[in-house]
Amino acid sequence: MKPVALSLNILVAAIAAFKFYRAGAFSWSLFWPFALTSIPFAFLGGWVTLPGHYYKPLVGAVLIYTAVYSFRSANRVEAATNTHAPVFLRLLIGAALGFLSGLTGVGGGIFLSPLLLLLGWVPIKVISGVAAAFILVNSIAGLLGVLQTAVTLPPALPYWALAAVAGGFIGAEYGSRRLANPVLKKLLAIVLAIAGGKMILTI
Amino acid sequence: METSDAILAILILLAALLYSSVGHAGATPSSAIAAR
Repeated sequence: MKPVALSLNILVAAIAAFKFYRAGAFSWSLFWPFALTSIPFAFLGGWVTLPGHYYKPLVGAVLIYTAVYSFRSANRVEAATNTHAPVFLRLLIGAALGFLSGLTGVGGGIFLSPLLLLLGWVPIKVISGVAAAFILVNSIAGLLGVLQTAVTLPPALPYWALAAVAGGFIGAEYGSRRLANPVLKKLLAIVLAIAGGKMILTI
Repeated sequence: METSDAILAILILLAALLYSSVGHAGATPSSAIAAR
């Protein structure tokens, strides 16, 4: 199912990235250092297999902590943001997150979003836009790697693709333009909590 | 299409909707597939 997951991720992330970009919720200067190092390191991480009982509790705890933080800060007025974080630091984070995403087999955005949220460099809508593009490039890189092996696709794939595209369009439309930031933060907190809980419960 | 495939399609739709709303990979279609 890995090529299916990556293909659907590409579809949805492409829609989300485009929509957030058009809504002005994107920062090239923030994005490119992350992408530059994450792509090759995602390949590297894919070569390594780590037992789930090592990384899942750690990632789950981080996600739940970020969920609580995000929910509690949902109604807080955003402080001044700093979009001029050092390029070297972003290259380093991109490499680490790319490697981690390759290692764990999930989209890199699952780590980038909470990190950007905690660091508070940019508004949450820009985090969404940057994370979408980050997932897009990492999923493309991952799929290209998977396609080097023998791949069989299930017959239901067109239906799943249709569902992914429909959900992607509706979510991106409301998420990038119409939902208020506190609503986005609370939604993100719920998603983070679910992802974190799932990580811990499926050890 | 089998029932399980249809249920997965609904899960993927909901995941994609949530994901593209918040831009977080915890709700990408791959999560729905992993939760299958």
